[in-house]
Amino acid sequence: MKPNDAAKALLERISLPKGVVTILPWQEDGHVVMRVLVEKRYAKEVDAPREFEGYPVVVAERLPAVAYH
Amino acid sequence: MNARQEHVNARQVALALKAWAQENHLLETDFPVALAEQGDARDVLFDSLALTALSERILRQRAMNAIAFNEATNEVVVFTSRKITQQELKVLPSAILQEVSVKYIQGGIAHAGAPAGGSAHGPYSLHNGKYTCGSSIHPARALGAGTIGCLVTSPDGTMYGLSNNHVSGMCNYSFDGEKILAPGHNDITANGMDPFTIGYHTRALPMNHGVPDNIDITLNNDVALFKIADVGRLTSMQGLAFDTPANTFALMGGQTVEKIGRTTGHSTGIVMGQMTGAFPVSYTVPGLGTHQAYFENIFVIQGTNDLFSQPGDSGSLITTVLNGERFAVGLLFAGDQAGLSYALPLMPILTTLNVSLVSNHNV
Repeated sequence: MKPNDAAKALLERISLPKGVVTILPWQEDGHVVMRVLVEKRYAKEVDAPREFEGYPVVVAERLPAVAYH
Repeated sequence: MNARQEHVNARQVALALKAWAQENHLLETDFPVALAEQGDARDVLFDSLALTALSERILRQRAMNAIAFNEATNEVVVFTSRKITQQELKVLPSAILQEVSVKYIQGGIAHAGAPAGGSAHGPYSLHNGKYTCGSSIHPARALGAGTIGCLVTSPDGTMYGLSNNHVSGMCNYSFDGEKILAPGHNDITANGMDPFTIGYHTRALPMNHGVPDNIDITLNNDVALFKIADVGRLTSMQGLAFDTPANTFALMGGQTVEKIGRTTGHSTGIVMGQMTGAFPVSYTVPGLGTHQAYFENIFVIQGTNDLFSQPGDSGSLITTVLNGERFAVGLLFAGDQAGLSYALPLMPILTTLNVSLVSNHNV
């Protein structure tokens, strides 16, 4: 499964409210790691596998992004 | 002396001196105050001042880099890179028609944009006197500074500037016709160029605040257009680095990308991947506080040697080079504390707006 397709499937599996989780298939040096970025309030509610479709999975708190005015 | 010469003022002399310096390739940088050419002013100078060949040689050797004027004191100041000696001052004119005094000062001017081949950069650049893409802009009504990404044209030939909704569109609060300044307020300095109206807000794509359960975030795109006021004042050059490419390509993970922005100038990064799922971005709306809008289809970029972007770079065009040809791929709009930058893919933006990239304009 391609990284983006795997990310979509993983997002469905995690099954939290829309907007709470974002998944970034982080591509570096030919490897892909599924970064599950979670809103701080929901950090304890994430049920993510350590590996998904052959890709390692890492869960992290989602940092606030700001518009670069 | 004719009647016209009796009323010569500092502004006229500065204009004439600028014209003379440009004709003789004496100016190292662009004139710090943008003024229209004026034939009468040039005539006044040449008729009355009669700059000698020796004066020209001195100014060339001392490297003129700017000319300023003060109408209150009726004085013109010529800035040079190297100091003019007392002996040389005796040769150079100290007054025009005994009305406008002329002073010569070493240095004292900030460079606009990146020196050729250097890594330093300013918030805006002038290429052959034309304001470049990748330079500072902001709506006149609110303080701030963002970046004009590129120029685009609609099918009827009208030229627009492309930036973020949260820059020129003021997060949906710019009125139709809202004046967009260049440079933005934060970049207006005593020695810098005069700000001018680069264009007028025309259209912004939807950027609705709220969580995905309540609104259709698939419509959200942080993009706005402003109609260019005077196409002759702008160039499609991205800073002083390269021209805006005529063609687009899909933004995708693994690409090496570049951008020119108001804050960090020319930077390089790698696209680390595309987000899946709604991603929130915080906006500060002038006078209305902070809001959060969610986006899909966001790409994450990490700087190669340094940060790819910082606040003020919003609106920058992101490009990549494939097989020796440059393509436009994205529009920068946000970042986070980890130093990552966030971009929107350009191709769907141009399709939605029904506009095309402008390349080779005043290059």
